[in-house]
Amino acid sequence: MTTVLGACGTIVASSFVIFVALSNAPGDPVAGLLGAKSTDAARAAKRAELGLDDPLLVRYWHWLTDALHGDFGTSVVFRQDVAGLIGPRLETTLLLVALASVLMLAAGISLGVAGGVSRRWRSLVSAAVGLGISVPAFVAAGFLTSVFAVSLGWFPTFGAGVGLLDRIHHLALPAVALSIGYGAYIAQLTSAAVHEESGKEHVETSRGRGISERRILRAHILTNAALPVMTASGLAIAGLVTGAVVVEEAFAIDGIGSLLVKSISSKDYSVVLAVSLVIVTVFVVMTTIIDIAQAFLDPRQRGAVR
Amino acid sequence: MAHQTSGPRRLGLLALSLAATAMLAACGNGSDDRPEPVTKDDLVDVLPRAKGGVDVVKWNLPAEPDTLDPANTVTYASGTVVRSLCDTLLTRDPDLALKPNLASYEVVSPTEIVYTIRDDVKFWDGTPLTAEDVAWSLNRMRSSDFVLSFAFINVKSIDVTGPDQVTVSFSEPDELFLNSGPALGVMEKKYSEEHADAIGTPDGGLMCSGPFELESWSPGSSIKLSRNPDYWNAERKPFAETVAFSFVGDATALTQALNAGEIDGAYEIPASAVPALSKSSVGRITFGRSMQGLNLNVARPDGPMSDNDVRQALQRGIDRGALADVIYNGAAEPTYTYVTPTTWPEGQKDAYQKAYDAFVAERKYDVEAAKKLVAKSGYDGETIVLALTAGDDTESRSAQLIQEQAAAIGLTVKLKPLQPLVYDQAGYDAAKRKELGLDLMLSSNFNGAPDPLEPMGFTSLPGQPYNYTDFDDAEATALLTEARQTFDDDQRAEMVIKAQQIIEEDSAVIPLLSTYTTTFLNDRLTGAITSFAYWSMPAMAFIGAAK
Repeated sequence: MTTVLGACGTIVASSFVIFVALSNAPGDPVAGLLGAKSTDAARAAKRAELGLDDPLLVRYWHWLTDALHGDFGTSVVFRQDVAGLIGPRLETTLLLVALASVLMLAAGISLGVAGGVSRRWRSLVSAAVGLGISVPAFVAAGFLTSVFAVSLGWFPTFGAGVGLLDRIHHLALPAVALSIGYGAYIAQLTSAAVHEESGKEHVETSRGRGISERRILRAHILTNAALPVMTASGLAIAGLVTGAVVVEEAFAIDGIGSLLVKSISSKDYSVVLAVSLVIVTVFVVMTTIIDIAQAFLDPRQRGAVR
Repeated sequence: MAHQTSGPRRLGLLALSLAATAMLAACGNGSDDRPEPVTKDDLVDVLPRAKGGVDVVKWNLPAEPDTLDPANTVTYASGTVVRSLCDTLLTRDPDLALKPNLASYEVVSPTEIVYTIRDDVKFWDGTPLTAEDVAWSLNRMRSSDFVLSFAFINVKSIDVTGPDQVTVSFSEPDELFLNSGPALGVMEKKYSEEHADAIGTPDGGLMCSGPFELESWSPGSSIKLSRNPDYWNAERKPFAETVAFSFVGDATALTQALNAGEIDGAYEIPASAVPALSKSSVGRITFGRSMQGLNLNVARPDGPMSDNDVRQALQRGIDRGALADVIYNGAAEPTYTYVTPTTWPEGQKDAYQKAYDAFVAERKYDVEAAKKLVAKSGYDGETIVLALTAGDDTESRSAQLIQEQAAAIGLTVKLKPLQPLVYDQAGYDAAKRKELGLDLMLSSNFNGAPDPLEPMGFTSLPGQPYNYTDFDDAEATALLTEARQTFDDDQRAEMVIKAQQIIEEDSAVIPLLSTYTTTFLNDRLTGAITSFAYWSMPAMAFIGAAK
């Protein structure tokens, strides 16, 4: 209960901070709506219509009470219901993040374990990690598209596709581009954790007792290394949501990331707030899940989460 | 550990160079029999006529339109879509000349234009177009809620005066209104009133009479049009069954999608994509005449730029040719007056050319002359703040070149990139320009009509939104006002040229480039309008099979 209340508090507090920051950011949203050839009177009327002249707290209160009723307002730019604007895009982004998560975890953990246990693999894995971390997502995006989409023609160059299979086909390259950075990070962390665990006293003892390497790996090393890896994975998945902003732009995918970028530049308040809250919520949910999972894996922390 | 840290870094570089090689390979598969890259000598207004129908044309817009409401159609993207959906009162040829469309017109007196509406036009739902629909659509646009209302400032009334007649009366004569005709889209009154709040949105749609019908708008991903089978205008019957618009804004992503054939074509190709696309093996790039330009606007009446010698020094000290070649990759040409040559009316070109040539000679790039002007001026080394829109790569590189060239003649220029909304606000708000300390603003703009009065009025009449220097010359004002009330083209040109002489002397705007309309089209297609007239026409109707 405390956890849930805390999570809600975090989300509301974030919404307030974002609201204030957005209101104080320079730029007049009416400028984008009416164009530079509009008259002062027309702009004043538009400001009044949008409620931009009300005091900050009043505006926030209106927004909050509406949001609690499930009404996230209307986009001033698209003149469309925010929920209707975000819904289909959120689906796209979540699918992209899900694909990227699978890639990130599969590649990151298996590389990490290989690097952690095998001396031969270690330098290879750390080279791959360095490569993965040093290549920014938008560079990877350009490279992947030019090779796999333009030259080889295996994948489409842009867009999100229609229908599940077509969507996966469209999102495959973006998911690879998105997962590279965090995948490298997970590999690095897993490798270090496995390496550390395999040098521990009880592992050496088990080896001395003649227990098979395979069993030691499963029973001692991986179980204990799982805790930090899981924590990092949870945060990395949340990180993928924000990372999606760059990748969606590069592949011209209509997810919430590209919507956020566009809405910020036009000061489309209700859309920015709603998208930011989606991202904050993902973070809050991920950290809560990690807390709970940690409690189950680590007996010492049991009882810490109520 | 030491060898491990250097390993990844080397690998990182290797990956980058691999990426670069792959990109070069991807871009370089154009074979030798491809035509040479286009130059300004090959300005093309329209491609050879299409030979037959096609199922689909996949066209890219530089951004997603925020609305398809014809009354708010002022961006590249919304214009391209809406003109193919909603017929306008008047229209243009590819060579930008004014022509009747839904209506023919007659200037019955200096303060009265009568439009006669065609009787063979039907909306997509089969309802015939009436004079009532036209009058209602025009009256709706007058409301200050809509961006196009600026065209209606001198309009007194718009009335149905006959079964097929709409009369527009003016409080004072206004030649400019007539020229706005190709921007005024007509909607069905009944449908539009029923969907009042949602007109032009993905939910509300539109009801017009154009060559294409709006099939769907999936926000964020695409807008689809389908052919109007009963279209009235045989000349503009669409070749394509459907048109699918995408909204790829990133220059690299767009280049790749065009080269992969996933997108067939696009207008307003970013200058940075021109080199890669002119070598494309799947399509061709075309430069067309355009009423677009790049200028430096003096941003306030005081400050270092208030000294006319400093302004004249900048006129001479910027190498416009280098700007066009290096930054715009040939997709622009130098221009020496605020009114670009493409904005001259067709019949009066000779008169304008004569006046223009004098400015070309007077403002030719000459570092020594510019230095002398700076020395002669009262300039004492103050910093000149130049504002530009943040995030636009071409503008930012242009600004850097201007900064370097200003330094070479002894002027210290500081660049100040502004977020788009801040820049837009500074565009109409003198207090904001002062607060930000702006001296110059780098601005790209376009005119909707080949009519010098449109741009000149906004910058040079007292109290107008872009008159940043409070320019107020009684003679110039009288000339421009009279010109706007004069329907004789030659007389009007004479007045405008006289006014231009006075206004250009003041140099409140330093003209830099006239930028071309840059179009890419896949080789499977042809017929595209490639001059800026595309923006005033149902451009998608002309595109069809090349073979």
